[in-house]
Amino acid sequence: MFSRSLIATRPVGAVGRAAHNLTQQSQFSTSMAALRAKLPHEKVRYMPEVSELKLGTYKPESQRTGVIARKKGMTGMWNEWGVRVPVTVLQLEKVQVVSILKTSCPDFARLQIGCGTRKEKNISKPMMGHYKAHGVDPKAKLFEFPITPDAALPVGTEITAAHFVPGQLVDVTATSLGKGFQGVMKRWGFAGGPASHGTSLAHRTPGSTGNINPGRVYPGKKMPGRMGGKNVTVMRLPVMKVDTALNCIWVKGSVPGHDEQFIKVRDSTKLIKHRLFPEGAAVPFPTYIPGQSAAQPREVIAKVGGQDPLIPASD
Amino acid sequence: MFCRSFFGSQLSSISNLLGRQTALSSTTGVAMSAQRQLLHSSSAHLNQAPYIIPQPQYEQPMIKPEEKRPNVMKVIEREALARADVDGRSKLFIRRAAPKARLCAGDVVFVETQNSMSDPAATTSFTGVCIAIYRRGIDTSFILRNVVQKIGVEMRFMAYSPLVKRIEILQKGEGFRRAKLFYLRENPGKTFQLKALKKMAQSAATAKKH
Repeated sequence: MFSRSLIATRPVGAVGRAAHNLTQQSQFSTSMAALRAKLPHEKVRYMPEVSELKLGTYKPESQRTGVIARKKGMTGMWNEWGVRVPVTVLQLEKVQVVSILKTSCPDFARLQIGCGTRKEKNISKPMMGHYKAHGVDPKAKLFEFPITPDAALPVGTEITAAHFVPGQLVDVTATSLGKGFQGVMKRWGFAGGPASHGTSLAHRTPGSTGNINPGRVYPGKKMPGRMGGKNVTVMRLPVMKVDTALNCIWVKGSVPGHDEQFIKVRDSTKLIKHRLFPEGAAVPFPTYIPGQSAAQPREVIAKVGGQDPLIPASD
Repeated sequence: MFCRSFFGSQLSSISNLLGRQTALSSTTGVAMSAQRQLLHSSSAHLNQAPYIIPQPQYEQPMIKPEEKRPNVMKVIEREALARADVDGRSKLFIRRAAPKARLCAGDVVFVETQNSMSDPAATTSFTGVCIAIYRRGIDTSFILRNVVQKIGVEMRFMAYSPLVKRIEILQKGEGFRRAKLFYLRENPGKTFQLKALKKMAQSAATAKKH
C-alpha cells in the first residue's frame, strides 16, 4: 500500500510487476520487463494514506496546505504600539479538501482545495461527477496545494480561519487588476521624454528600441501592451488577526485583485531572514481540528513585539 | 497623530517644538479609565502570549436580525467602532445629531494624546479650531488649526486611535457656514485671536477626568 512517510515504499501497479519480473531468469521476459519499466505510461505514482483526521506535530520541514479565500475589502487597525496598519480582510467560505492527488514524487503530496458553492445546475456533468465521487458539495473554485505527506488531510475536511496563526507570514496569490492597454511609462516605468524644451511628439514614448547591431529588436523588448490581469504573488504578509466567527483573516497590506475575488493563501515559503510562525505559537498541524485542537477565543490579534516605535531610540 | 504645518516642510521641526511647548503633560499621572485599560491588554500575564485578545470580547459577531446575508466589512466596522468608542466620542461624529451635540467645523476643540503606548502618563495637548471633519468609520479624523507663536499649525487626529485620550469641545463655533474651513488659512479674520481660549485650554488640560 502507499505510505504517508517521507520515505517512499515500493511502488505498486504495472511497474511493480515489471520490477518483480526482472528478478526472473528469462532472457525475453527480462528485456521486455526492462523495456516496459521504462515506458512513459507506466509512471510511478504516490499518494499519502490518510484515513482519519488527527493532530500531528509541526516540523520546520513540513508544509501545510493553503486555502482559497475571498477578498472582502480593506480596513485599518491599530497595533499594540498605537501604530495604524492597513489590513485586507480575506474570508474563507466553506473551504474543504476536495481530493488528494497522486504525485510522481514521494516527498510531496498535493491536495485539491475547494472554496465557495455553486448551484448544481451551473456545474458541468464531469465536474459534478468529480464532486460526487469525493462526497463534497459543488465548489466555486478549485486549486491544488503541494504539501508534505505528514500534513495530508482526508477528503471533506473543512479548513477554517483558525488554520492560520496570528503573526505568521503568508504568501498571497491572485490575479491582479486589469489595466488594459497601457503605455510604456505606466507599464514598465520608463522615464519618457522631456516635457518641454522643444520635444516634438515624444513625451511618453519609449525612445530607442535597439542598436545598429544586431539591427533588430530583441524579442521581449519592453513595449506598450496589456497590463495587469496576471497572476501575482505577494510574499510574507503578516496575518494580523484571525476571526473564527466570521471565518476571516486580516493580512497586513494590500492583496492583488478586486473585492470578492478568490485569493490563494499559503504559509510563506521564502524565509531566509524571517520566521514563519511567531515564537511560542501553537501551530495547528495539519490544520485546526475543532474537537482536538485547543479552544481559542473568537478574535485573536497578532502581537507585533519589538521596540516601541513611537519612542525615539536612545543613542 | 499627524502634524501638518501649513507653510511647508521647513516648519515641521518648528511645529514639533511648538507641539512640545503647547504640551501640558499631566504631572498628576492621570490614569486611563478602566475601559481604556482593558482595550490594550498590556497586562503582565498576557505579555508572554504571542497574541493579543481584544477587549471587550464579542463572542457573537454584531449582525442585525434583519441581515440575512450580512456584509462582512460592515460587521467588522460595527465591532471596531464599538470597541474604539470607549468614552462616547462617536457621538461627536454623528452627522444627524444636533449641532450643539456633535463636532462641527468651526468649533474650538481640545485634544489630549498620549505620546506612546508604553507610557500613558506622557501626553501632548493641542487646542485649535476644527477646520475639517472626515467621517470614514473607523478612520474618522478631523483637522485642528491654531496659530502658535505666530506660526499656523494644523494637526490631524484619527478619532479612534488608541493614542487619542480625550476630545473636548471648548467652544461651539458660530457663523461658520461651510463644512471645510480651508479659507481660514488665507483669511483667518478674528478666529485665532482668542486669548480666553488659552485659559480654557489650560483649565481643560489640568481638569481631572471623571
